[in-house]
Amino acid sequence: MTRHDTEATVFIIDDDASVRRSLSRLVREGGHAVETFGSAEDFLTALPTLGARPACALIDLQMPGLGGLELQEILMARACPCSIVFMSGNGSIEATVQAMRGGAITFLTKPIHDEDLLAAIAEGLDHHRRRLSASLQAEDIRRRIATLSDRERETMAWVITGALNKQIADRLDIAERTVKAHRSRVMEKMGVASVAELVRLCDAAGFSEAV
Amino acid sequence: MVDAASGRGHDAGRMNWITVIWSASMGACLILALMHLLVWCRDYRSLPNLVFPVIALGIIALGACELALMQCGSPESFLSIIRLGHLIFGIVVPASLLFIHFLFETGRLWLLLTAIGLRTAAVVVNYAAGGNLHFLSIETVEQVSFLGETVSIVGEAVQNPWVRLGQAAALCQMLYVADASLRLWRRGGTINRRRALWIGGNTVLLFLVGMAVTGLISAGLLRAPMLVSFPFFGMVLAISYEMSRELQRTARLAVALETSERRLSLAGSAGRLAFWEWDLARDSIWISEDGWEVFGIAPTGKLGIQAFMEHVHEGDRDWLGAVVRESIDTTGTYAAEFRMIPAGGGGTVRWLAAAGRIDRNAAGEPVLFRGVSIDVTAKKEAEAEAARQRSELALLARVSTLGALSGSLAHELNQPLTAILGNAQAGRRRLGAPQPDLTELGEILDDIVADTKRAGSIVHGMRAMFLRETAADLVTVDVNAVVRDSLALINSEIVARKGGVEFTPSPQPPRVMAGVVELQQVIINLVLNGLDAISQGDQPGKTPRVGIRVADQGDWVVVDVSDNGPGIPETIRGQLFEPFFSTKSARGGLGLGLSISRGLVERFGGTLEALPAVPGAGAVFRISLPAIDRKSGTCQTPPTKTTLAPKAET
Repeated sequence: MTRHDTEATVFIIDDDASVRRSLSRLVREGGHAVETFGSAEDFLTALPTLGARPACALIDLQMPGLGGLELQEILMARACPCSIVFMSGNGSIEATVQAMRGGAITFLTKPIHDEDLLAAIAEGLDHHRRRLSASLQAEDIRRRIATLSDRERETMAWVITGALNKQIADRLDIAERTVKAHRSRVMEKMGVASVAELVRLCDAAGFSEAV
Repeated sequence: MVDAASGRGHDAGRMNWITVIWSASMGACLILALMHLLVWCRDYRSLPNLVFPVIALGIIALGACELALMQCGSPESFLSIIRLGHLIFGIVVPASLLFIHFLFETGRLWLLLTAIGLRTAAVVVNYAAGGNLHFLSIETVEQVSFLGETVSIVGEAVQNPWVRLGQAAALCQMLYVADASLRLWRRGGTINRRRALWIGGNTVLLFLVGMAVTGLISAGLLRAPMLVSFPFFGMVLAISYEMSRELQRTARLAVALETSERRLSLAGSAGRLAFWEWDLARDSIWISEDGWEVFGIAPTGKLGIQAFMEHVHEGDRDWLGAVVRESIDTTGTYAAEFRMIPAGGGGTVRWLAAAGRIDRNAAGEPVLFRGVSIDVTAKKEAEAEAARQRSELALLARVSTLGALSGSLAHELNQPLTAILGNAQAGRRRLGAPQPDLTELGEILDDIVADTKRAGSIVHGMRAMFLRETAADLVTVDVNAVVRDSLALINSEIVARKGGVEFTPSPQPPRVMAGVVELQQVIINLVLNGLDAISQGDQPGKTPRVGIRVADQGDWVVVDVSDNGPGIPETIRGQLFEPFFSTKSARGGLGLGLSISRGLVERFGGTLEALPAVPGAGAVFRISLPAIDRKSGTCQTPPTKTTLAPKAET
């Protein structure tokens, strides 16, 4: 965790230069690195170079060109590289609802009080940090799953449903002894000691039972 | 001395016809002479009326000579009376010719001068040759019976050979009159032809008769007394008859004039009109009877322009004076609306509208300034009320527009406030640090100052939109700047509507007379309409684009506001500016925006129109405002004079 903390960055996306300057000062006072963008388009262009680090984007709802909600939609379609905090001087209920359903951390009304801003940023960074670590873990599990043979993966799919060795043998039309052998290799490759642990890993990696 | 005819001579008891006829003729001539003399006294320019009495009096004198001749006993006195007669003749004939000359104005001058010259020569000969023009000497005087009386006539006498000179003069006279008459006749016209025939014809005819009679008598062929006065008397009657028609017409005109004056006076008092004349040379102003009331001035005997101006409202005095001077010096016509101070200081200020004209003399100098003024106070008050209501309506429209824009305006205002708050809080945190960076703190404060100013200007701009503007608030404005300010005010709205506005200012700042806020209102209205236009088309996803182009076209400054919507169907182009006409019924357009905008632009002396549709292009609205002339600083097409003056005081 501490490894990411130094890299934690706040992106400020607002069309108003003086708002950008003022907020970046405040955020820096809060101890975060800041990068600012004058428009959603600029941010999307820079996105691939930003890398995977804990990040929170402060996005103005109302901007020329792409608006805040549209930017959120685009970011969500990709593996989200940051959590999102919206700002607006003129937020309608509809916009707020849409933003929150789109997974925004919160919705700040301009002018923004420093405590609220920093709290939202802290929450956003924390959220993203958790998401990042979760996704790192899932990737590790997926890597382990990839080492399984087809048969072992089939066996695992049945194991996590709670099926007995005999039932699995019937389904796969193999000997029960063979199932046992696959099973022990699965437990070994996945690095788990119990079925319960295996189920949790598969869940985290999004691996589903075989159809 | 008494001849054979004396038997039928005069008896004391019988009526003396000669005396009666001659006296009657002479009396008639005297009366006619006096009459025309009186006419001439009233009108010095009427030369015929001056010459006519000379002729008439001359004929009386001729008649007197003839009477004396008829009763004369000795050849010597006969000779001298005829000599005197020729002298009188030498006056009467040129006078007649001059009369015709002045009346007809068609005679040839050289012919006139020749005739008068010959006649004068004849008079000279009359005195120089001894005896008179007819006779060198008269030997005997004879008595003949004439009109039942015994009268003297020339008996034996020696003819003067110079009598030919008189005949030549007479011929020349006739030629002159005949020629002048003919030319008058050719001019056409009822009066001309009648005069040519009646006066000219008669004169020629009677000259002829006179010549013939005199010739016959002096040649001894006709044994009758000299009767020269009679043809002339006939001529005088003919002239007098013609001249009397003139008098009749004058009398008729006088009656018509009186009627028309009465009508005018009636119209004047009914319509509260004041007729006036200002004699420039004497600086004396005449005002019609009911006019004093209209002007609100107590009637005085003599009113000069200075005294009149004292009654004019002091706010209007200077420019009215300038307008009057300009009328007199250059234009020759005059129109103004101004205020008068009520008589006695009480009551309300009254508005007068005046129109007039300058009369100039032959030398082109202004001599008379006359015109009519009307009390337009009620109209002015109604106008002021209408203007007030218009301004109220415009204010309402503005406030309602701003209401619709409140979200965007809040955003617009929140941006600097956000920056200020963020900066202030960052600064405060910085101060909490052990070693505050003073440079950074200075920058923070600078930013706060700048953003506060920005917020202030937004508030100022919004506040102006809530203020009333009145007719007196027309000022010189730079149209480029007004468009820029308008766009700044609705910037957030444009962003919120995902629209784009492209502004092309004119290279030179175009200046017009307008109300700043009202012009902004018109532009904001047109831009918002333009942004809405796309939603009424068949491409709802398209980005609304509005173009504003300001162009200086010399006399006019033109602002074109175009959009990329579906355009305006030709069928509704005429209705667009009618109140309550809206194509935005679905979204609650009141349909007052364009109607109010047009009213506002017209108040600046300009026009607002929708340009004819171009297939495939959006709508274009054009504001045209009269440009202020850079050199003189005045409008090419100035607003009416009233706008120079402040609002009516009610």
